[in-house]
Parts: sequence; C-alpha cells; structure tokens
Amino acid sequence: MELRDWSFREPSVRTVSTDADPGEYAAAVVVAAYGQSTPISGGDSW
Amino acid sequence: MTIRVAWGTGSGPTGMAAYDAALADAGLHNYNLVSVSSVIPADEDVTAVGTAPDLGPAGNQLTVVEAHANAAGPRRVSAGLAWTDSEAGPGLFYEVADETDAATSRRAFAPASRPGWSCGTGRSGSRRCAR
Repeated sequence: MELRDWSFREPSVRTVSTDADPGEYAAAVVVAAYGQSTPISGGDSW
Repeated sequence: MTIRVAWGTGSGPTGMAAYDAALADAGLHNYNLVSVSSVIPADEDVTAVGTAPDLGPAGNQLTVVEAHANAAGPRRVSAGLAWTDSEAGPGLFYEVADETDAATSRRAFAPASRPGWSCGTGRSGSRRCAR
C-alpha cells in the first residue's frame, strides 16, 4: 500500500508512560502544538 | 511557525481529572485543543520541549496532534508520537496510545523507522503504516 509518494527521513519518537493505582485513573499524553494559540472566533452564531 | 512536542502524565479520581492533570503536566491544560490529523507543513520546525511555554491566554484555541491514553488502575498506560519530514518537504506525525508500557509503544513505531513508510487513518481512527 503506497499512500504517499514521499520519501521520509528517520523519525523522532517520544513516548511517556504512567501507572494507575487501584481506585484511581491515570492518563498519559504526548501533544504536538502548532504555533501559538488564537482566540476562539465563535461570532454570534453561538 | 514552530511545532512544539510536549508530554505529561497525571492521575485523578476520574478519567477526565487524570486527563486534565496530564495536560497540566504538559503545560497545555488551559487551552481549547483543536485536533487535526497528522500532516506537518513543509519547512516547519518540530521541537521536543517537554513542557509547553506560554502559548497565549487561557481559553484560546490551540491546534494539536495528540496521543492520549487513559485507564483505571491498576494498569499502565502509554502514549507516544513519532514525527518525520520528507525529502519533498511535508512531514507526518504518527500517534500511538494504549494500555501498555513505553517499550511496547516504541515498538509500535517500528514501521515508521523504515525508509519510504506512509501512514493513514482508517475509519475506526486507528493508524496504519505501510511502505
């Protein structure tokens, strides 16, 4: 299966793990944030 | 534009509380995250920062690609992102998140380490890579 006609370089990888104790929840996130945040422009349609 | 990769973990009495704590650990809990799929525009820098710097006022929207795992204990959860660019310019992120350990998550990126890989998203939202 060839989805893209691109030749990729060696990737960078970041992983993170955590243990959830009994009776609790745990979460792990890795997030790529594009640039700066911007105001939400909901307008009058809300 | 710089694309910053931040990460974090958290725990709490509910899944949402744990998720919010993990986002706080990454410095991203005060934004409205707007998820996009995984294409990196050409000529954009991707930098691993750990904790995000100040990216604007609380309540703003922030465009993200996110790997997120959440589970009730006793369990181990892992999340990961891989990223690369192409000789043509654009690049891709590849997300993995599951109830597993970090070593298993890293193995999930194995297809991305081979030359010429391509990734796509199925109808279920799962990621698939192939040459």
